[in-house]
Amino acid sequence: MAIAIDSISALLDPAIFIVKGTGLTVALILGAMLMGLVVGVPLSAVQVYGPRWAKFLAGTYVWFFRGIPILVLLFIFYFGVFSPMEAFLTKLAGYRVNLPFLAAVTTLGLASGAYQSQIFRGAINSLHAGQYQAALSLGFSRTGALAHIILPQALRLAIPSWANEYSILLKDSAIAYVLGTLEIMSRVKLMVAATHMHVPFYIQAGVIYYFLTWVGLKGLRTLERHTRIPGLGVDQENPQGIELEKPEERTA
Amino acid sequence: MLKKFFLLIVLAALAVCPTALKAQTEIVNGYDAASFEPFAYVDSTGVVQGFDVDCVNWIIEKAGRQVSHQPFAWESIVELLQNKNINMIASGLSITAERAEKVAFTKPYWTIKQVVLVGKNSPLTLEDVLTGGKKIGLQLGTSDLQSMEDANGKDGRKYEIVGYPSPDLAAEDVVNGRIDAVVMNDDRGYAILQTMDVKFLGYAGIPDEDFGYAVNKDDAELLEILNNGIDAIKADPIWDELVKKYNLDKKL
Amino acid sequence: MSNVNLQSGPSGRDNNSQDGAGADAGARNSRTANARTGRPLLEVRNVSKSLGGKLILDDVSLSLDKGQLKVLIGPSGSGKSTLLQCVHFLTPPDKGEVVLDGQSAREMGQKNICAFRQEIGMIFQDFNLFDHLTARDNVAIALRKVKGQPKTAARVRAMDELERVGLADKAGLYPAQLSGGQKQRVSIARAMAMEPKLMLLDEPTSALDPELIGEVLNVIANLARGGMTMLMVTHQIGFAQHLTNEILFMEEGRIIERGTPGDLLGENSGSRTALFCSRLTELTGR
Repeated sequence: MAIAIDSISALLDPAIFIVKGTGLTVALILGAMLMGLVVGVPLSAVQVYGPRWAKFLAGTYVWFFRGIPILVLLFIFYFGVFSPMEAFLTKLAGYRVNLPFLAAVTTLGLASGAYQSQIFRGAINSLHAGQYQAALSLGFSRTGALAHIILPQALRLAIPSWANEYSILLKDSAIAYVLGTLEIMSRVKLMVAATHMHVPFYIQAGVIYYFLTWVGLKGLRTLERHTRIPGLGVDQENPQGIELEKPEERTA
Repeated sequence: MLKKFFLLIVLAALAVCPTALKAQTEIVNGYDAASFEPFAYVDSTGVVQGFDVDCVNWIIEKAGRQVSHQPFAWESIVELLQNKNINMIASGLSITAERAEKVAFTKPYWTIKQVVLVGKNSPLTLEDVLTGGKKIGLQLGTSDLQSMEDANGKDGRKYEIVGYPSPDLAAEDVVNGRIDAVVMNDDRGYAILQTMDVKFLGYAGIPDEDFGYAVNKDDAELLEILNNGIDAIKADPIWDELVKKYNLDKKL
Repeated sequence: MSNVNLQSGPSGRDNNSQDGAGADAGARNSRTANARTGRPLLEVRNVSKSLGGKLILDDVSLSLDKGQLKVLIGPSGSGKSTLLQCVHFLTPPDKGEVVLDGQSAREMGQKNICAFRQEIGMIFQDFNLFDHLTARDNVAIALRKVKGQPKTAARVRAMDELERVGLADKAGLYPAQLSGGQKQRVSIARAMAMEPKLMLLDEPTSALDPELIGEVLNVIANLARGGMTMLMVTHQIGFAQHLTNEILFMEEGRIIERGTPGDLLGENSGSRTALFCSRLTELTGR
């Protein structure tokens, strides 16, 4: 009995230490997702509408970031780009920058951009091609058509896939531990070393990640519901589109 | 609604990221993320402790500066110093000719011997372990692993080296029987002896090692601060206090 | 629709001097006289276009006076849609000129081509409504984003246009909730809101159920009566021949016959057009 109580209190402090890493993990994920969005949307537009040479460049970018494992990318960016640039970055920022975090967010963000661009590309392509023509016909410029007609629809269609991307980013963020960022996994490793106990802390990490996943997916589902438009995208209630009595009466 | 969602993410990202981006202090000491007890490690509440940590804190403080400690993966820690991502390494770093080519060392401040540990109930003798083709665990990226590798096959030595991210993990595998023995430095060995079911078998018979602090080759100023500091602290009563605090006086 | 003889202006010669019969006799009712300046509203000169290595349009020329409606018919693959796309400069032709009201499209350059396109409206076979917007917003969006009108003004204008096509009560519905006929009428309202000089119609009723064709044809007829200059590709010969004074028959990228409905479709005309149309009526019974 005494041993059990001892173990539990021995677990409490490390557990608290680990939970504190959640903030950094969330920062990693949000930062990466945002960067991925900023990179992914123009990339997808280029891949669908761009001139040949631009399509080629975009394709190369996607191929690079999809083909190389995240861990390798992390090291490449950290040692190849950020580490040598440290003096410059410090001068730019005015204070000493947390390099591991910056490198991790940037790498995850750029990689996410590659994946998100494919999501949007699929969404854009699934739209009826004529809408772009119609927009041009009304006098929209190409960017105008993209911004006002294509993207609002493509983004809505992309929301379910985002849920997937979010889960992946969540798991990928754990890899950042190799760079020494003190996010959840780094802290787990430190506590394992300090207490020589493995399983309780790995389980704890699992619980936290599961909770973060749940929150994120719930949020995205709410977003999807609020931006739903009849007829646009897959009807979640009736994905196979089985025809029932139409609510609106079709009058000639 | 979509616009509100994006605004939310951007705000959240902006809120969290800048704080994450900021690093700690002017001088950053890199230590072994796998926890090198008792020189530099994280205790179960997440506080950085250790003989090296305390000494360096004292030295730097006396010089009127500030220092913080960050964990990194041991294999790349020297490279990080070369790239000036950290200012120094104070983490039980052994002075070797190979490392001295890359970074600048202070004078030695501590000497260690390499010891051999086996399971508490192990029937093996020192000779068995060193010549009987047994499995010996060592931490990757350390000088002891290098020395053991160099010595293998000479003077009748015969053993198989198994690499681990930390000596603790190697020790755990000794306890559960996956390997036969572990080799590490004596201070670490003492600490492990207190908490794990292993026993001291003898010395590994490889050259003793000196610990030194390492700084970047261009950082003459910090080197001087540390060298002077080593002299100062050894002359100060705090030296004995710290030695006692971390059981470094208890020799195997 | 009564046929009224309209004087052909000095430009009459240009219009129909090429192969095929037909002068401007028996033109349709038109509120406005022929172009003040005496030149056609639309001139298509020697347009050629290749797609995917295949020659789709081969030296096509035609012109439209203001207020005229001309009908383009022909078998699939003859290049009719491509011709409309080139006139609209959605895809620029490889060779040739498109001149609208004296303004050459090619001379406008890439930057100003949007302004050129604004002057022309197009009705598509597949409607091409914007799925994420209500009917009213479909009509209003170009007014707001292209013409820069303020939101309320655009909405009012949009409702006007929807009234004109008889869909004011459906303004708040999304395209997925509308029937085919309603969708096409919305797309007409949308195009008309931009006050184009020329309307191009690419088989506007081909994708509609038979019962719904009538409502769209009514709207088109109203437009024609109102004096809109139109070039229409259609299979609805029975309807079209009463609205127009010139039919153009295209085959394999060339206009091979042009003439009045009377000439081309009259008894014993022996024209290719008549042959084609009789096949159509065989199938559709119209």
